[in-house]
Amino acid sequence: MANILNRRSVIKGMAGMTMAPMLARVMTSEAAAAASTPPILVVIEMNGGNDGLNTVVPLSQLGAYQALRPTISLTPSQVVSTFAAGDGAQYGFHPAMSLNLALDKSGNTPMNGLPSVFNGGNGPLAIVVGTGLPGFDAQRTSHPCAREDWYVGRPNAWVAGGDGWLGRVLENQSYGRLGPSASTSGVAQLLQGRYSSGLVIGNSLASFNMNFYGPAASASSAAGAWLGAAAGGTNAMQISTALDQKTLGDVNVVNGANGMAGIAQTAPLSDYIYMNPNHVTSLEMQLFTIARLILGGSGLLGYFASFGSFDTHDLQSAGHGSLLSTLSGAMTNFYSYISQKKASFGIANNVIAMTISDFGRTPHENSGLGTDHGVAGVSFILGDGVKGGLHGAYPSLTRLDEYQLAVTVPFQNVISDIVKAIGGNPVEIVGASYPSIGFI
Amino acid sequence: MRKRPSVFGYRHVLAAAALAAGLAAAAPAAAASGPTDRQMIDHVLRRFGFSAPPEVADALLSSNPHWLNAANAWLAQQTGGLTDVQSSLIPLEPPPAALTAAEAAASTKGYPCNTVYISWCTADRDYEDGYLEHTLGTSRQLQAKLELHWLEHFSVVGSSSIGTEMYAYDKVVRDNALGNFQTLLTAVARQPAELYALSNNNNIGSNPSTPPNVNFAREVMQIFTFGPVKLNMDGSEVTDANGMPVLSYSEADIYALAYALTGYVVQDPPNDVDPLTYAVTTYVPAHHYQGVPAQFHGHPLNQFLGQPLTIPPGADPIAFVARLLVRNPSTAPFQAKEMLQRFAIENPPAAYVRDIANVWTNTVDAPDQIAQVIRAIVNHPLFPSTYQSMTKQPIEKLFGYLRQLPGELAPFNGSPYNTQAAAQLLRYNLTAMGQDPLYPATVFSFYPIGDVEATSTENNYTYWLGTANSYAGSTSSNNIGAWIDMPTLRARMATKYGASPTALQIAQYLLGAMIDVAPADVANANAGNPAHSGSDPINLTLAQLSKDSPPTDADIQSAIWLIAASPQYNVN
Repeated sequence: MANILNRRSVIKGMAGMTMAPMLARVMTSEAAAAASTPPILVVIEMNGGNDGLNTVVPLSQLGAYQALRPTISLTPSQVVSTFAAGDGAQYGFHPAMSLNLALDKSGNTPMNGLPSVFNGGNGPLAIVVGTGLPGFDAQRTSHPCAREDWYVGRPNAWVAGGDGWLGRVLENQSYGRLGPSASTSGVAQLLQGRYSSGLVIGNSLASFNMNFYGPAASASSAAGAWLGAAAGGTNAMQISTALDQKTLGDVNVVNGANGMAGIAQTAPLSDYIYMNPNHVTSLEMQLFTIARLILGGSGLLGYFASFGSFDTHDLQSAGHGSLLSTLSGAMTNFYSYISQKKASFGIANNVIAMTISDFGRTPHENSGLGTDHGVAGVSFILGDGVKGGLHGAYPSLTRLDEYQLAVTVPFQNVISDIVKAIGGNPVEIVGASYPSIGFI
Repeated sequence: MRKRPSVFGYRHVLAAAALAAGLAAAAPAAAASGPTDRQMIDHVLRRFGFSAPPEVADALLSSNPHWLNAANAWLAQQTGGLTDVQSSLIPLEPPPAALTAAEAAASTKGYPCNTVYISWCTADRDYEDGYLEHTLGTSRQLQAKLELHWLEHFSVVGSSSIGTEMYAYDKVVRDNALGNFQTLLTAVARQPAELYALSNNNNIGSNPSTPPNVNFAREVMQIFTFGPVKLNMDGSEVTDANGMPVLSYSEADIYALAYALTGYVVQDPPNDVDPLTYAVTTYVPAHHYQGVPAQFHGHPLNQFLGQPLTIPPGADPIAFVARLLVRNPSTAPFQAKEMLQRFAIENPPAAYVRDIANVWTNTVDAPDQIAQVIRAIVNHPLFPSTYQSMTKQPIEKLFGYLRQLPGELAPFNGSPYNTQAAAQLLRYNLTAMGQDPLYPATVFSFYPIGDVEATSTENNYTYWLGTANSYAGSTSSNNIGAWIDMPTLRARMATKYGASPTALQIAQYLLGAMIDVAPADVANANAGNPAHSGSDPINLTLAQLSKDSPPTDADIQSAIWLIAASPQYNVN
């Protein structure tokens, strides 16, 4: 979290001024970057704790499901894109995911001419069910504690702290001059590495055009002098990025930040696809920004976006659908657009997007017609090289674990497979060896 | 809660940043012997208010040369029934305590409104404007600062659906901000805005087959009172034999508490245009859980934290539960640590937490408990070590120079009525900097200052620490010149220096008011003393003010902007 980032920034700031080996490593990485095309990972946080049970409905456990949720359960006629998993069990998606994810049964009702990403399990969309933080106590069902475990990739990270798993992986990669990663949703512990931190950018590259005017022309150039950035035309993003990254010791980032405007110009993406251009959602804006940075050749390898809130304690039926609609539409459009445009922008990297969420929710509905903090949930992985369909074992609704959905796929296992896919050492990152889930 | 070293504060971050950028490190830092009396009283006014003109510190120190005496005089004034007067220098509309039907019907807000008052163009935003106006201009600065603290503590996130309810909610927060915590907690927990925000409204437990909504029950423990982990009095965590923190409560405790807190219903009286009575909370015993408690995790639900939990007949469950919660052994260190993190230092030493927690415990029944805790924080021997140890929140940055110099927000479009549009400018600039007070960017109990997490990404993609917003916020500097009341500022400087102050005197005034620079340091720099070199704020300010002789208003406004944009101005 930001607190630790700031403390570490100090250490790194000092280190950056004196530790030539680290800078040399970065430069070496840059030199190597041209010959390397590591995958790009986009982590999308469904903040607040998504209700997996109403996201991917276990139709084969319909009786127990409806008994636990007499009011907010979905009926077989409501769910869409029903499909059978490998064991023959039937599932269906929340109806709000229908149009946007093109999850129709035939798999050929595209949105905006884009192909279905699910396609009955044959597309590049994987669903990992039963995932979450093993065990159950009042801490693991606390938002900040659960998130910290997900960010670090270790259980009980809320006690011990730690760097983010993605940050640790990426700083060993051959990333570009801007650094390894960026967040469109604030300071991200997920991107915090031992020597590096993610750039923090707004949800829109408009931030890069924010002029640093003063009441007099001389003040603008003075602002440049303040922060060591180029005088004249200095913009706030450049300054702030430079300032933050200076504290991280990466001198190259100053030049990188100055190049941000160029990247934005390289990839304006005026034909980017939105669900409703008149009402662009926050996640769409974030993914649009990420698309510009990817196609603009930023060299960043990891991204963090977050939206919500999925904390549906009451009247869940009223709001959950629109969140899922946003997720499915934004993810589909992002991936499909990137896939279509990559070659023309000269980007050879595979691109993978995955979702995480604090925790799942209680299998039973509450008196407010919502659900409370639970345990096991659902993760989506969409991207190049992903084996679509359902992975993992859906938790039993008749054999609950302390009244909660039991975790069948520990969160570290999901992270482990992703880490391996993006070239990291999974044992080093999550602290143990896990069998492949098979989604990639 | 987290096992991390806490060696460095934000001042060091900024200093490191400045060093890395090739700048002079920290021109206005306190001398090695510690901050001066002047610096300390400015410190108190910044931390426990939203800063003040230099003349306020002058007056306090003229009567009480030692900073602590001056600080206690100010605290006595602030806690002694001070009338809530809006500053004449910031001529804004006071927040409406109640609105008449005629006012409600009139579209005088400068932006499109529905004709029905209750459907004002988002009542929450309208209310937020009023909140900002009041906070900026009120004479009750200590109360306003505590009000902000509790607003973030209780974490009601404003929305258009509860905009009108925010009036009454904030009123109880403000009225009890310096009072007794149990009273404050009880009042807040009964507020319609809180009941909506944490979904305890209509949480009916009369049907044993449907569990209650546990949202409020969890958060009233986790973030309102004692936190998720048991604490020792010095704020350290109680650990088990394996070194793991001992949890404060179990899931069964959450459910037990949720059942106990069922039965509250918010009712909206029809045709009520007074926002303070627009919605009322009613306890409906028939909606309280009446049956034999079910088992949860094998624990009976009439047990709470290992003790029987039986609401006496006729008792108000919230009041009964609040009494239990505030007396939990972890509540005092939890609250003490949080207040120290807000008002004193990011990582308070154990002794500081322990001493303040003891004051908290000893005053648990006092009607002015919170005020006594504030006095204890200021009078503690460790308080001087907190000087310039943190970074400012955006609201402290923005309101700081407006109060120091002073600011003057012009009525929108010249309308004599619509001063609230000026407050909209405040809100827009503040949100651009990443802070939206009634949409808290932080739930302070989760994420202390600097440990920032959004509660609503729809409104807070970017946060006020980190990168863009920290400095993008300085685009608000566009407005600094326009917002400074130059005639008043010049009159104040004339009182101090005569009718035609020199560039040096103006620099001394501005740098002293905004970033605590001693006059002698400015004079040294002006004389070419090498102690100040490079592009530090002193030399830049002097250079800007020396462009014309005498300095023009534009020169002064530019100098103000330079100081406000400096890393040193971020330091609190």
